[in-house]
Amino acid sequence: MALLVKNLESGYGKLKILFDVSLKVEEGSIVTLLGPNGAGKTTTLLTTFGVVKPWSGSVYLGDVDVTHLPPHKKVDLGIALVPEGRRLFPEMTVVENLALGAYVKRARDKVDDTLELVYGLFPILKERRWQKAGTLSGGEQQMLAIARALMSRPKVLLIDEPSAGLAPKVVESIFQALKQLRSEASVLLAEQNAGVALEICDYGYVLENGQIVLEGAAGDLANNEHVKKSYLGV
Amino acid sequence: MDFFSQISPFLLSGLLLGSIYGLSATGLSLIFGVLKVANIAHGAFIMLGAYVAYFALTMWGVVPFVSAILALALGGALGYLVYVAVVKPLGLKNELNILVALFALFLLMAEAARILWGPDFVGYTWTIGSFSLGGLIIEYTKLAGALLALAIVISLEVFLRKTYAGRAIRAVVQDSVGAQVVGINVDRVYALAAAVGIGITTLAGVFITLFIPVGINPYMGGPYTLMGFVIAVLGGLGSIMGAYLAGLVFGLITSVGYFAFSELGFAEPSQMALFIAFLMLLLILLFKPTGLLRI
Repeated sequence: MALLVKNLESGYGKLKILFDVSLKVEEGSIVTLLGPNGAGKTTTLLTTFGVVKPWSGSVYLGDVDVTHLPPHKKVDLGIALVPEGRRLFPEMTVVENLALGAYVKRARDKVDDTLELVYGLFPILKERRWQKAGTLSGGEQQMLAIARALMSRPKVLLIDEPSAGLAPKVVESIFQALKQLRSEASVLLAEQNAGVALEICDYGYVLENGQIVLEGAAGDLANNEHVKKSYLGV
Repeated sequence: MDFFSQISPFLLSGLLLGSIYGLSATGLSLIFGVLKVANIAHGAFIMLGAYVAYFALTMWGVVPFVSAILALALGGALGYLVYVAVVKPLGLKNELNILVALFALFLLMAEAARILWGPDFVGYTWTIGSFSLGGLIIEYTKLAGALLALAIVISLEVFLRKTYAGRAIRAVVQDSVGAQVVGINVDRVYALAAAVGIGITTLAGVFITLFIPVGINPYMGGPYTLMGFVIAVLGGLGSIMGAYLAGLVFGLITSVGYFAFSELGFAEPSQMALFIAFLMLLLILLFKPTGLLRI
């Protein structure tokens, strides 16, 4: 087991968003978290990562209880986040962004190897490496955000809505790259676009109003009546 | 005397003093860039640095270029305290509360200085000679102060670009959430920026006394807070080199403005020169609010 989230509850101020969310990500697998806007997908990722403090429940990375660790310690232990809105460093070049991705000591020595890896995954980033991140197209920025997260050599990669605001063709190429990530990291992918997500994932959960309402293997979910009606539009 | 030889001393003194202004504004700009906090107490730390220079020289015979190191350390420690005891407990998102708290700190420091050191103007004399360049008299202390200020700003810029700690600071300036995502301990960066920023401000207070050796007073800080903001905004808040260059521009404008207004027979030429500087701030905010340079 790469990541285990057990009975997680959290929210903002007095407003509770997550109710008893449990999920697991097996080693080398891609797990998707489907759900409509406002269901709590982002909050699930942020609470797992530690930006939002958990109210109760627990988060395990492998066998290690990381529930209450701050984000920078989680990155050090091997959890990385590709956040909503990408949150790149706009005035820095692609290379500088990637170098900061390897900020934690564990990743610093491996910078050159990891750079080769992410350039192999996203060749366009190598071409653009001296360009400022703020001048990249939306798709390139999303690729850079994923590549930056990989630079920390994570065991588990949390990705928030990589398809947001991108053209279908660009989404397709990003998801093709994600498929190849299995050998590098286990992936928990929050996505509204169920069609593309179910194509590449092994297992999925459906989150509605802060609760897991459905789970299953990708193929089963794709054939589920509720998923078909609400998320696949068929 | 022709126009050029009349104005050139003002150009030179504007540049030399501008270099110190620029140095002091880098501290303000760094703190704003990282913490998004306007350090209203800026001038109080300039005042503190000025007193460090005064006491170090008059009590122990330690010259300003050495006491500057002391001021940097003292200011750094106080900057760390300001973050841990004032900014962090109030919460970075409560900008207005922090602003009021820093204003209170400004008043508190001025009054504490008055109680400890008295309300009068104090000063010192320290010269290591001067030289003449084409009819201009240049004091070594002022020239060395200006050059050292430039060297410190360049070192700061190198620190921000070449070291992991510096890159972490720049990352927080550009996107603090992004910084958290890559594993930067953002809280530590805030503390570091407050320490470095206020350390440099206090150090700049030492250098300022090279130019106003008898103007040291508990209440001297106010105009420096104002000028600091004009310069930091002119340079683009958050930009170190921008703040320094803007300091040079500000020094030139106020110095040449002083010359022009006294030639024109104004009663208070230095006040008029400040007026021009603030007019400039207004124009910048209207037409180029991002300032000259960004980080």
